[in-house]
Amino acid sequence: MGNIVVSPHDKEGQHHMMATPTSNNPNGGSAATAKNKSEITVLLLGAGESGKSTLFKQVQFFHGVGITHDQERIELIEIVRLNVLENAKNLVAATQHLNIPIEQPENRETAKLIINSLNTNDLEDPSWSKRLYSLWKDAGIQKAYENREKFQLYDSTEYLFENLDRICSDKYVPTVVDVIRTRTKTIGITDMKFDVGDGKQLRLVDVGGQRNERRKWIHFFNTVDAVVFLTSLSEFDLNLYEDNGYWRVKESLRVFNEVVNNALFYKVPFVLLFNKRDLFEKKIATKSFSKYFSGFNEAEEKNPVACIEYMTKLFLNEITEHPLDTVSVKTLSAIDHDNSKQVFEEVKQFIMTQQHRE
Amino acid sequence: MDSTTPLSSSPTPKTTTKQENGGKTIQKTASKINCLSPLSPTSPAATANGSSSFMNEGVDGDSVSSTGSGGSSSKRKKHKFQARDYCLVFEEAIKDVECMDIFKSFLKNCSSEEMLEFIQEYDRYEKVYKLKKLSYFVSPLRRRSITSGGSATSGESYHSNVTTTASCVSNVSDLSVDWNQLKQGVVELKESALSIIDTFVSKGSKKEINIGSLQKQSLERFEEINKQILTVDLKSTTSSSQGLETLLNVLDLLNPSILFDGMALAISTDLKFDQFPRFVRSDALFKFLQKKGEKYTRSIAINISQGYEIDIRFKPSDLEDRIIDDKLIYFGFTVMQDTPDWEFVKVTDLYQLQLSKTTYFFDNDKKESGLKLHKTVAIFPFPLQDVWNMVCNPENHFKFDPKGNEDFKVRDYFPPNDPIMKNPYALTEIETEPKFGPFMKRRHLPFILSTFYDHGLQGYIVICRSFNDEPNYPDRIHYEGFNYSIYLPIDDYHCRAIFIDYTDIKLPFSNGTLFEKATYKIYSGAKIKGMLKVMKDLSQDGKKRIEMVGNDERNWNKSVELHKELYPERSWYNEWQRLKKF
Repeated sequence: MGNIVVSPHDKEGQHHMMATPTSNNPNGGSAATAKNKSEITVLLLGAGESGKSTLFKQVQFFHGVGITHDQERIELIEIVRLNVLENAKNLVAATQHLNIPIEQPENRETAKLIINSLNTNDLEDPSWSKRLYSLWKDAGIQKAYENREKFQLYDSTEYLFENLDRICSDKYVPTVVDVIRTRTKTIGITDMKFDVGDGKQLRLVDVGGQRNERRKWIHFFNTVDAVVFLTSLSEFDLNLYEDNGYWRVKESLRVFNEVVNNALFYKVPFVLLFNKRDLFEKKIATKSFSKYFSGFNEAEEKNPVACIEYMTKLFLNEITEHPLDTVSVKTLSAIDHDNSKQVFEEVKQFIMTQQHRE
Repeated sequence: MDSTTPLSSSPTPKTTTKQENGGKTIQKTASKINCLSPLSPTSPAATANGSSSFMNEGVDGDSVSSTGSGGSSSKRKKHKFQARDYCLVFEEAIKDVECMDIFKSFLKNCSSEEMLEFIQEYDRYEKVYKLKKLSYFVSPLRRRSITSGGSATSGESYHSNVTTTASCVSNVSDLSVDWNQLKQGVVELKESALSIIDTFVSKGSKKEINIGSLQKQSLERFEEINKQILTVDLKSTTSSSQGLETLLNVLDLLNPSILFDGMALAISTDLKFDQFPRFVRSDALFKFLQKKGEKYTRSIAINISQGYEIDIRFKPSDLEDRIIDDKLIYFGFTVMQDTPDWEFVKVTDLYQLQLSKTTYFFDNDKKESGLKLHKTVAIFPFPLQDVWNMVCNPENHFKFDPKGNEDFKVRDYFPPNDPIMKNPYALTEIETEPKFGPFMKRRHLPFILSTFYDHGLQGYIVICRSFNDEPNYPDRIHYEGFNYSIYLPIDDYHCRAIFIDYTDIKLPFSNGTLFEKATYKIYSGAKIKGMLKVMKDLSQDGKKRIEMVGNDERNWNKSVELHKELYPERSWYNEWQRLKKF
């Protein structure tokens, strides 16, 4: 996980970080190929911010897709900086809501600029690196950050603030890790294809996860060959982005229930991935897990394995229709390149074996 | 990095003529150098490989073809338009109806067409809202007094144009607002807003957009509108002050930037960063652009085949700014590049005049109306410093360019970072009123200029640009455009001067390029010859150096020195090169 940047000029436009839809008609395209099974369509599903797009980006990267276009790189620069600004804005707004004053006067000045006028181009100036970092280290902001379960904040906040000296420079070139760490809300549907041997192609489909995006999933349900369902382990203390009074775990369970018991998926292999294991382990060290789950033994709450086991049971309990022998459960840290590679390889193997069994 | 300093690695001079040999020899040398070079490489590859063609041209004799002064447009291969060289510009593309249709069908395939539809509906609603709101007040003058009486919404809002009318209740009675008209308008607006809410915002609606907590906030605001409207007796044909106040309040709440606060921004950001980048690379778009052709493509896209920020383009409003910034400096390097579009108009031993039809404006009107790009490249058999010393003396301008300096006046000077002008660089404001021909109106030519020494090029840059000037003289024609001069050393005894004009001098029958070409030919020929003559006189035919004299009234030397102090060792050219290779 170094600062790898894939850079050769690519005139043909073959491998873009920003995937383009591989077929003009998402339904028609694979319906035709479903018969001869030369293409295996795998859906990445899950509630918002469960890590579908992160895994998707990782798969792109380890299939040799890189940041190839200057234009792409510039877009990525803007996306990374937009993430920085959004994080900063959310933190500043949170200090207001939570009534935590920003302590240093110069940081208050910075906060004002962030809310009112700062834009991504400004971040080219290295002086912003110091100002934003000083704001980040402000006792008030840090206190808000400790209470981040009370508002919406991206997982990458700390990473971005710790890398400001690179990001706030006119020479900034986004690294692969930066790209993995930044968040863009997925809207609609994106897919990519790659060879998996035996003359077969795997088509991985990434979708948006928020409530209103989910009604678009139905378009794919009848052409799908496998489902990978992601859920975030670290969301046990969080509420929804689209409904800030609704517990994320409840939402994930609900969505999982709808998907896994859908008659259309009755026969397809189903993988349940518990994502953000890294964040989860850090979180339970300082936060109470049992507080959120009345059925969980408090004595075990610092033991990640026990917690994950409990979560697994919780999810598997939702399965009423789907045959359990075609369900596989794994944990994942999608931001970790090696772990993603290994887990995705296992997922692929599981899907392929299930296909053969048919 | 190495190729970004082309001049420091310039090959050894082709001539070893000593200065004391006098003017005659120098003349010969100049023509010799010129013969070696048609000043522009004939193959476009020279530009593509990253080395700067316009800077090195003529210096490196080996790489130059033997076409001599006859090198002309006919020798150039006509370039082929490739849609894949272009990248759409979001802000421009979104205004183009045809392009948006293609985008819409693309979004449909990705199941995200609702975003664009929302933006379009929002825009439509916003237009209607603004029109309606204006029509309720007697006159704009009245309106202004209301606005200033009320309090503007807090700076927290991204939309600063929002004013709260209802908070100035005391003024309401003075207004001759037509109650029935207002009533009808508010009801109509509410219906339009409701249709947007029902289609895009309500939970579970047909085209529900993905905007997180903004959704809830917007629905709550609409609830508030409904609540308030219920308290008004809409059947009544006469107004009560209470009803009037409520309706005006509702009218404010119906303001799209309040009702849908942040939504348009959030959605266009999502569109811009999520779906648009995919669209920009889609086969569907490239097919469409290829079919539409180069002219259309250039109206919404930039050429990225050489780098992303090289094809700088302007909007007509950019012509009005009174500022010289980095973008404008870089733009000079961009237009100076040797592209296949340059057509040779005149080639002599001393100079070459070229014309390009390439446009650098997005707006179609501007392209048609004829901002033309002219380039004159001259080689002077004098050291760079001598040439610079000569042009820094304003007196000399009246000699070599009497036409361009008619009624010349220095209006003002602003040091760098002036608190009011907020200019990064020193600016001198100048006005001239040249008359190009006996039957032509005077051109009114107010412009600002700034000068730079570029450490990478080791040469001087002079930038002039027009700006929106008040008052306009009805009997004179207003000029707009940009003008660049670059003075570069070739060797110890020769200097290359490149003059670029990107202007619409608004000649009569300006569509007849023949007339324009002729005017330009005469004008620039006279100017170059004039400069050479002045330098010969000052140097006594090359026998002595030309000194820096005169009052520097135009601040050419002063600005260069100030910028050297503020930005020691800076090279805008290298910065631009880095952008290019990015």
